[in-house]
Amino acid sequence: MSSKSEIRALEQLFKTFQPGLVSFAYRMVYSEEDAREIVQDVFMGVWRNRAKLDLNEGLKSYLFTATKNKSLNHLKKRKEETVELETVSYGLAASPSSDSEAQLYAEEMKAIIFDEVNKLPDRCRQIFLLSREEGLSYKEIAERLDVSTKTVENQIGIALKRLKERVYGKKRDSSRHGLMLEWTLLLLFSKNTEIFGGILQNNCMEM
Amino acid sequence: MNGVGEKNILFHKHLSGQSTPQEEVQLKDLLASENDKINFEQVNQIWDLAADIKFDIQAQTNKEWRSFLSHIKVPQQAKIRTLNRAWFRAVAAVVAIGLIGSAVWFTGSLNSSPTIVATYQTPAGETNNFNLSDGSSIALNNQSKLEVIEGFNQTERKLFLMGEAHFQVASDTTRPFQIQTGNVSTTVVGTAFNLSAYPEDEQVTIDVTEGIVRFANNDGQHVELKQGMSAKFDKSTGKISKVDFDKDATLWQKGVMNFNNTPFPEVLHTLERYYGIQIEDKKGLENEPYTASFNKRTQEEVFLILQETFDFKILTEDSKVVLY
Repeated sequence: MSSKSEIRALEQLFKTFQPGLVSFAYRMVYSEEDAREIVQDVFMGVWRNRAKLDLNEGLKSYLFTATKNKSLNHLKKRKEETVELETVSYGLAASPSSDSEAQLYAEEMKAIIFDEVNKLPDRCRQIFLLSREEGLSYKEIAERLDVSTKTVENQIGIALKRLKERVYGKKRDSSRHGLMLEWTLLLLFSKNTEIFGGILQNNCMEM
Repeated sequence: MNGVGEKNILFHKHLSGQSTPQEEVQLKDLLASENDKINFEQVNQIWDLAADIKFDIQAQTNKEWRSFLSHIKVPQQAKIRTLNRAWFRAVAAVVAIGLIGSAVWFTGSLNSSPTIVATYQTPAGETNNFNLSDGSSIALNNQSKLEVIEGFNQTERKLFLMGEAHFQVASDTTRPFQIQTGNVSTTVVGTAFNLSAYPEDEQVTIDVTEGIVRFANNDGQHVELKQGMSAKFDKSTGKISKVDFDKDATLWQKGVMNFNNTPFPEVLHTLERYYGIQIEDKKGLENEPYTASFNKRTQEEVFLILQETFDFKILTEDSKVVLY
């Protein structure tokens, strides 16, 4: 296995999940800078432990769990006042682990949505965000961007179609729901295979 | 209200509180269909989850990736196992061209690095079946990776394969279907075949199950293969030869490991990929061809069966198996 292919696999992983993880961490630590550091730290851990990681639950769960733990540790270290700890505790709570799993699963979906939104064509992305984030109506968006409301509608339709395909797979796979989501990345880790390398050693044939 | 896009718009109007009473009625009618109801729920969930995303965390991801890279220590190139050096020398451009309607395409430049838009990957021990957007269906064997190159199904259909896959290519003479594997390339327009190109194996093999394929190296040597024919490209000699059709070449799709006069090192590679293990052959059992079929046997069973034919002991430690 070559380290080049490990890096390539890691890069793919990083570019897909980093924004979503930062967004997730941010909602716990309320500092963008800290959130970014935490996520860098999480990937550092993946890299350091790439030979040993045994991740039956899948890589994504690992990423999100690690981000959550590191964010909470970070808060403890900062000895934040109760207010912020309370803000955070809803996620952890004394909830049964299934709740926590569901929460992490939702975070994974958010990360995928984030990644796909980032990949939308500029105009499409802009229109989607004006609607979702700023709550503007079609008419308001159309005026702001100087396009027709029909264009706004169409772009929203395109954005939702792409998001739906990415999160739930193509139509024919819809019964499989979110399980389709990024399964390739999930599979990068398998129990007995060295992280990345097992699968990607094939890269070494590239000349 | 025909297109999926229009339905999404209707869903969105409802979710963002912009629908007219008339559109609400339309939506209600639509949701009577189970399928549309699922679609609506999916859009609804995406819309709700997206509310929670901090999009203004600008995607400085590329910058952060570079920063991350500068902080990790990249080890020296790790050992590359069993990689035949001759493989590197063999200037192997193997082109298999489906001769449907006598149309023939040659491969384009192999050196550009196109953008990958989707990756399908299997770990050791797992296979996967899926369809591509052009309707072609793919079965991917253990520890293989198929990458879809940007623009797929627009003017052409290009993929990267590392490992083994069976392709049932949707016929489309206007968009050649091209699979690149290192510097080996296979181009067809609509046919079905099994292509095995693991870097650790000594050969690239193709088994045609439908249509006609032209399989050629860049020395101009080629064979024409019809349904029911197989050929191999020997990486050490750079030669192509016809071999007996391996009707069992696709048995892996059913979870069966099948060996037919298979060189022993290759048998071991297959086991490695199937069980996700590493095997070290200290005994040097090379050059012994092996024939057997294992239908979803456990690792322990398979080694016991192998020991009936070959004289070796095994030592297992975690995912590593030593033959001695």
